[in-house]
Amino acid sequence: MLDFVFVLFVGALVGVFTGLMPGIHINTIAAGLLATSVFLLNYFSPFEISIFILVVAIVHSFVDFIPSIYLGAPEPETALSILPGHQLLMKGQGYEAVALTVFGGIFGFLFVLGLSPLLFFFLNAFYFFVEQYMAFILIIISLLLILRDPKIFWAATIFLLSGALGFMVLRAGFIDKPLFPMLSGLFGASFLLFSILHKTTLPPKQDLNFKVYKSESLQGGITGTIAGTALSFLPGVGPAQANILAMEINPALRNVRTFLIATGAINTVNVFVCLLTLYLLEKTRSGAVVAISIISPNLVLNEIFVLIAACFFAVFAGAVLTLFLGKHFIKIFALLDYILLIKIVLLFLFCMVVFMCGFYGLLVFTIAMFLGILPNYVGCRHSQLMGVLLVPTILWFLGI
Amino acid sequence: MNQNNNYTKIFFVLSIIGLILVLFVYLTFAPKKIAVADMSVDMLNYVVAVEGVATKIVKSKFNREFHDNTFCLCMRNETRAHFTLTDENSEIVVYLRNSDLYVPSSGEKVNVVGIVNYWYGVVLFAERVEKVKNNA
Repeated sequence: MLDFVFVLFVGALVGVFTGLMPGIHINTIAAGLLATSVFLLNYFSPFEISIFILVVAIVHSFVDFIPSIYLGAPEPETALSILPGHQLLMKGQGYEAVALTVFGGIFGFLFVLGLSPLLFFFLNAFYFFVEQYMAFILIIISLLLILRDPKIFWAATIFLLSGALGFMVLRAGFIDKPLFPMLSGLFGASFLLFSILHKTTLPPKQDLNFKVYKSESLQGGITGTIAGTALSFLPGVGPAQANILAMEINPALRNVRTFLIATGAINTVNVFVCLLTLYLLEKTRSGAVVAISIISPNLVLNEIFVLIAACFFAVFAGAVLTLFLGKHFIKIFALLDYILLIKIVLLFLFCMVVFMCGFYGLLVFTIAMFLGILPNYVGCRHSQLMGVLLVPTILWFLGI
Repeated sequence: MNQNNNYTKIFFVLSIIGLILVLFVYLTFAPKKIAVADMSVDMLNYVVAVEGVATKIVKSKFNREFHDNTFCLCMRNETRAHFTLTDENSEIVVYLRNSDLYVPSSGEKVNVVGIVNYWYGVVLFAERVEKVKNNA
């Protein structure tokens, strides 16, 4: 029992660390744990290690929004939250932006937990149905994305250029973690470069209170949960595409607050649905679940219930820790020279890219940064940059 | 406004130049996809092990590296083979599991005809040559 409690608390602390550090993805931790599992198995059972990985993944999915929103240093899952989060940050409501994603995460988890009996019955049939039509669903989403943009020409151009970059980088397979340089460049570094060029400063007074309105919580939470659930278990599709789907199926998500709630929901729902997918479909859809499936093969229903209980702990630990850290970090950031801070973060991202992906990764990162800054000047929506994932995913589903 | 137009031009031109560079690298160095297998992606759901010869470097998703001629995935429930092969002409044997058993139940001798990296792993494009083994 003590081991179990120890694993829960240490998992939460490690999740905080990985969430706060830009570039340290949960998959990196899962791979590291897998590599050291021979040693860890001397002290913990395989199932306890699986619980640890799950807690890290969920706490990470909450804390991850702090560097994304305050510093523009995203993970693939939080890339799209930067700009709406930044809009609120510039109004002195950065903490509220973080709190909205936390609220979305809790809402999404509880909602998907309520849906889980349905998933037990229908996930299998739904999986095979949606998989068949996935290419067409994504093509329709992409067309809507472009045609609804106020600047259609630029929207199509940026969508296709991002798509070409994504296609070549993912197809070539030169980089071990291709999403990191691409999405950090498109959504993180471009935002940092724009802030440096235009000498953005944080409002000195940041509001440390937040409000969540009923309509936005329902709109964002329900749409995010449905989109996250619908896409999280499909191959080649993840939270980022779920975000785009959510935006297209519910125009209310154009509101930044609603969008942030939906993004928080999608992120947490993704971890939970990946776990259910392992049990129900015997398929792994995230690095953390791959590690769990290897360390604890043949999970039985009782173990799934214990893992769900661990998810409960992780969701509430992640929420409390994120709100606590978010409040203190924003006070500190408001006192610092923001331009200097983002220059340091940009330099850090450059170093991380070189370290993790080599010089080819740096080339990809730099091009992605140039592409990512264009929507600021031409006036189209930043979500067009998601062509980087949508185009290769569509081609993959079409067998090209 | 003028400054914004200048930035648009600068970043657009830099993006295009960069993409041309990536295209050049892609066309020069990327492994070619010669044919998509008659081994379907769905069938790859059942890959549990791969044996091969003439592989140069095999690196799994979890950074296990194999430099010898035989390698094994044994990654349960993976939908794709998580390794990188650089030799397009190697001959490998893919062991599949049947839907109920974890153990390999059959062997399919295949030629590697192309490898494509994908963000969840590496898709193995293979062309089935003959069924070589049955050890159910």
